[in-house]
Amino acid sequence: PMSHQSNLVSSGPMSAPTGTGSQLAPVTVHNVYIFDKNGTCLYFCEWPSQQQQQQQQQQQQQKEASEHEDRTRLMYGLIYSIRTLAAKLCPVGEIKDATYLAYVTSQYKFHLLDVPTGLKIVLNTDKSAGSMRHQLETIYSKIYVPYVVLNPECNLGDPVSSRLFADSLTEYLLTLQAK
Amino acid sequence: LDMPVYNIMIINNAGALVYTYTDQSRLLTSANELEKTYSYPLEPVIEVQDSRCCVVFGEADGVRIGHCVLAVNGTNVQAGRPTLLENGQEVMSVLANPASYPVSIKFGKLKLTANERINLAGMFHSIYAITAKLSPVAGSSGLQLLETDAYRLHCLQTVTGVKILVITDPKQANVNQVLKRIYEIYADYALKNPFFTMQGMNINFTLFEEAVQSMLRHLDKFGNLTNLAP
Repeated sequence: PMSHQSNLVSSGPMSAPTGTGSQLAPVTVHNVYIFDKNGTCLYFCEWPSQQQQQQQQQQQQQKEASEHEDRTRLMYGLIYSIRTLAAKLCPVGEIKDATYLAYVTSQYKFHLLDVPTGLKIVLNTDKSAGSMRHQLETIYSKIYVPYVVLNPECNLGDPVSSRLFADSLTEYLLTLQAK
Repeated sequence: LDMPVYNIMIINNAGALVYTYTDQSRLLTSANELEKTYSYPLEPVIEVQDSRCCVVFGEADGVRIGHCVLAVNGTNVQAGRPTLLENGQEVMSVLANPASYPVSIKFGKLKLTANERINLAGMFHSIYAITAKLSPVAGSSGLQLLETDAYRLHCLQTVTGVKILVITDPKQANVNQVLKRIYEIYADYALKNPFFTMQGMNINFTLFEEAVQSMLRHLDKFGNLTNLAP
């Protein structure tokens, strides 16, 4: 794990980077998924907007658990298929290590960072977000690695239950939404 | 203004690929090929994946995971069956035999076969539906733009469910014009053609091809389609 940190771009403190101009604009993050290389969902957190919170309160919340299970399986299936598609369609064949991939729909933007160990970090943001590669790499190297990988209590392959990890991830994502 | 359109695909509402165009001149496959000589035992681990021989472990000297075997000791692999060499031998048996060493292997990226393109189109059709379903916000369309480091894939879904895909360089602008123009060409030269049926038939009409070529030439020359003659 330590050697991966040197491969990825290292940033300073955990605030939004002062890279290209577009990164300083506030980004609304809808949710985050982290999957390991076998497809197990290690972490999921969402920040629904005001409208969605009202809708969810009105709807039944009994089926949340199985629906969440279905959703994560569908999400992993999507990740796997979209990576295969992206690799096969590539016209000039450059195959890289930590690959970043994004797609945009009419309502949201999906970002995926594929780390050399097979871990996949997914971020769903609003449509106008620029490239979140740097932010995803920061999440991996500055939050996931210190709080999960280097944590002797956390077994790799099990869902992350560390509150420290959850809190620092939320804190980092809030800095992206601020400004 | 060398920002090419690499690929155009049209997928009908059932998910079948009905048209594909590949820019043959810009496929930089030869630029990514490399030839290396090895002695027994072979350093990179090569296995058969998707009926072609790929490197799965042991990256070194520019040979990466995902690179496919294009030739062994100067003999190319067969076009339709990349696990066999042109002289009939199996790639994996030649590599497993210590007597073939020292062996020189050419690595690179294999071109997509027609069947693979059809499969990818079907895969895209499903991915489009899933991306719409997995939206964190209600009422989303499917994916309209896929961004990677090497290329961008743009998709226009028409009101009838036909998807028009264009794969371009990441810096290419005005792709919405291109998508719209291809839709116009499809409506004029395919849909209005009395010999065209909707049952997944490939679009194979001269006027259609000519219109697409003319559009691409105009794009090459001017970088946009604003003054395209109808």
